[in-house]
Amino acid sequence: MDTENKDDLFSIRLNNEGAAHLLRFAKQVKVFMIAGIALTVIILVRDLIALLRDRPAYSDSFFRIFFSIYPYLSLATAIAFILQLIYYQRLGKAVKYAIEYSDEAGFNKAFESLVKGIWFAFLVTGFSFLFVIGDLVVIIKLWNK
Amino acid sequence: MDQENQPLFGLSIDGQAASTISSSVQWARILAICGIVFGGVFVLLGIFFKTFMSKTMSMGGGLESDTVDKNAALGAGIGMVIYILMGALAILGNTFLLNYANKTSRALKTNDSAMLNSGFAGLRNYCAFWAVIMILCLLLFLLSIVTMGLM
Repeated sequence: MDTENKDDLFSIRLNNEGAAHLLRFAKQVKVFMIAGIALTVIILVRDLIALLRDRPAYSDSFFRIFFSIYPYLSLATAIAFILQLIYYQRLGKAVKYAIEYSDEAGFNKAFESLVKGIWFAFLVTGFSFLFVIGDLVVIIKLWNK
Repeated sequence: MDQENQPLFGLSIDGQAASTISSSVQWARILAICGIVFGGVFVLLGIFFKTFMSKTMSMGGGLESDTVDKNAALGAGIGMVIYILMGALAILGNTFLLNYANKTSRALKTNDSAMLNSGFAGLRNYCAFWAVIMILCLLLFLLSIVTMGLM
């Protein structure tokens, strides 16, 4: 970023409306985090029970590979999703603190958490895509049997 | 807006933060576009799923009775609805993120505080949207657990 641009950026200030949006974000992100973690735990437990209960020996190579990586993929998705929520929550917390105490340095630093949260959101999206494609292939293969 | 909030005008975005926000905007834009494409693929899969199932059923598909045929049709219908619904939700949710990215990026380029507010509103909407979806999913899970317990 060039110096001229950097100087211009100093003139952007957060006004009341923007602060209100960020404070509401901080509140909503808490709900998002609690509900998200609860849902992730439920899904993980459900998948784990299903895995322990039935472990059929698949003759199809795709089924074998997909169902052997499924628990790891599921766990990786859950971890990435929880980390995404943690970073979003950190952003909410830092922004709320900065607004309440007019902490400019803290406010400016808070957005680093958003970048990290978005990186993890990428991972979650990628993993979800793999799940959907895998599920679709499984459905099609089962249907053709 | 009350007067207590007036000191908020003191919070300015410095060069370092602008660069961080700019980076978050770039990633958010890529994520939103990927999410929207992903949602579109979901919708297409839903349509493909229904078409594929209908074709298989009309060819016989190894199904032996009318009951099985009806159940399969119902399953295909539910599958299609789930895929299309998931796709629509992904598109809608990521539109909020794209809003955040576009508006915040414009705000940083033009030093427009009002636009920055709109950008933050987009981020808030994105978060609120997924919070509601999470709660709905949790309720659906609880409902399915209760239903299975009653059966």
